[in-house]
Amino acid sequence: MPPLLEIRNLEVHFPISGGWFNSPRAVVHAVDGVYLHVNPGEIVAVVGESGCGKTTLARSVLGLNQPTGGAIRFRDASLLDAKTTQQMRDYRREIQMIFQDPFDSLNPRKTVLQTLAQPLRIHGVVPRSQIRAEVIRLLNMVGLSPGESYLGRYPHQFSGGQRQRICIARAIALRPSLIVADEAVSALDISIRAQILALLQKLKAELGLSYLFITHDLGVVRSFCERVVVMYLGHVVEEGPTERVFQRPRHPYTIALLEACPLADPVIARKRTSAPLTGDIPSPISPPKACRFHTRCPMAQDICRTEAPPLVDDGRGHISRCHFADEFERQPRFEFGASRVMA
Amino acid sequence: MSEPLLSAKNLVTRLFTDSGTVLAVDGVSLHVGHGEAVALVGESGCGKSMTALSLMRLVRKPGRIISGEVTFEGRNLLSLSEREMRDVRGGRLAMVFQDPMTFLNPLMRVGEQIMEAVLLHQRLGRSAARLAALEALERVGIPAAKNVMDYFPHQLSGGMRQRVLIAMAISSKPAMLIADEPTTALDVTIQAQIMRLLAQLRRELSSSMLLITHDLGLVAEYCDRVYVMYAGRIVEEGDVFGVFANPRHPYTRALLRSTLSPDRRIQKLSSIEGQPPNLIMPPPGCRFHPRCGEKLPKCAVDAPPDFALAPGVGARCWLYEGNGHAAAP
Repeated sequence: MPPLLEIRNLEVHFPISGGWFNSPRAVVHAVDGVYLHVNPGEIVAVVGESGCGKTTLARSVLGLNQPTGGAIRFRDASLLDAKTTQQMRDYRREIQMIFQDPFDSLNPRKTVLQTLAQPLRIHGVVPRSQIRAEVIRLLNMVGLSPGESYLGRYPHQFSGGQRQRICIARAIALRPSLIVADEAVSALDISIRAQILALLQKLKAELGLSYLFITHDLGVVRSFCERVVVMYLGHVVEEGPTERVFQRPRHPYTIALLEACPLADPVIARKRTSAPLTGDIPSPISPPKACRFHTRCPMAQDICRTEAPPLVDDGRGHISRCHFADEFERQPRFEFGASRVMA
Repeated sequence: MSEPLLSAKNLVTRLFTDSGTVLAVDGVSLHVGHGEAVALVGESGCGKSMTALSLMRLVRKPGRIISGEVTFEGRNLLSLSEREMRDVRGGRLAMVFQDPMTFLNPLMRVGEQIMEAVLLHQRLGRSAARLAALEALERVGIPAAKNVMDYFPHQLSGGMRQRVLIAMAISSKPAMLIADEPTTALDVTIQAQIMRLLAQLRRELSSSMLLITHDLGLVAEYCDRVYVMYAGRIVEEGDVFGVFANPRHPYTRALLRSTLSPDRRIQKLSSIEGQPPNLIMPPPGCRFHPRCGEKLPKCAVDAPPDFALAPGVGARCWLYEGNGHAAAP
């Protein structure tokens, strides 16, 4: 089966104006040569720290910014060549989004009914006479039931978790096949976060959805996502099935992330001995040459400073952008708290 | 047992807002011993930050500390004059906040700001204060500290700004540091750097730390003891290993169950139904009872006292009536 979404060699550069007559002064290399695909019914995580390009990637998929190079294909048709309004409208219907802050993404002056009726009306999903019934059905689906009782309320009358449910109802209103979720549960408290993740799981099963799940939370990745893409400064540095990446990471940055993330287990957490990565994340305006991670990499050799490593697939869909990816084969399985000998 | 360094007894802080009185901190008692790292953990709105501000006497209108006692190094902070309190605050008792940019003056060089803190609490001349500031910056691991002294805050990254704030806090060699979500705004690799730094400084200065956080991972890794807070009250206390291995309060249990930790894959996600209560009109009885899976009939009527289950271990839950003895209210 062809992938639902396929991204090839995507490049998104933003010029920073402000030079003479507003000529570009510098360029932000937000996304550089990214390959990624989402299969039907799959949850793919994109993880990374600030400036790694994960949000820019998400916005490109949604058509919210114009890539400077590469291709994005959806159901085997080019998203970037969608010129007519009708084509764009079709994509908008198929690809929906959920953002981090449900406060910012709901119009405070619209009731729930108005918010949810709008996309139904614009896209003519149901006859006008049935819009109200459809909104009630959507509200019940996302756990705001009985839906009737919520129709006339405004966003400020809801808690953060409930607002995120409304955003989810809006996202599924057009019966999309792909939902791009940018840090959709990051701002929520633990007890609410689990509720929303369970809801997303339920909807995936009921509606056959796929998710592109942008997050920085490795706990959510491991329990919720099937495949994971690790980004650093605009590059994909590692990609693979989630369990495989957690147990056999093939990039030093992935290992550093795993070593740095907090673990809710004092016994294992205190066995960890490795020193955290030193230094700050470099600026994407002038990313390091060759391997972008070399300035912070504990394994860096001369070659890492002079030659950019290629993206190499180990033959099982586990991809790494590191000169020493094969060295990791000889390492024992990654375990939290276990000491490791690095090459 | 010797006197704890800091202790709070029955602290009550309320916010008098237009929509009603918020029972933000409702009878909180806790203590932090010499050299100890203690966590106060809870979800947003549970009153943990308000507790920290109350300990520092930094509660601002419409909030007010209503009653209680805060003892630090043998003195009741709530009865000190504002002038005496200013000596304690930022001196022996220092604080680090979540967003360093809010607490740094954007128009003042970093070095000057740390010097200001030094001069406020130590009898030093300007050149000695400058040296002390430089030493503090070096101590928090800022590379090329000499140059950074002349930087403005906006020239630094988020992690570096947090280091500057920590430098300011430790410049007076405090006996205790209250850190309110110090790494929440930072990336994970930077968070690890800052948390290790705080742990290292605590050892070097043999000081204590009260870490206010929502992140059970940070509690597990960096703290000795933990207080779990829910809806304005402490519902469980214990040493970190005990609380994670054998949580007593149904809220703590549910919280740990719904936490997704990167070290394990959970097939079936579990969550706590409902949402935290509004503290203007909290539910009667135990404040967790509407969401509790183990509730008894009396939970909806009577607020449980804090049952002491072992030395330093307690839970505010009726399940332990008979097993433990109720501590004084």
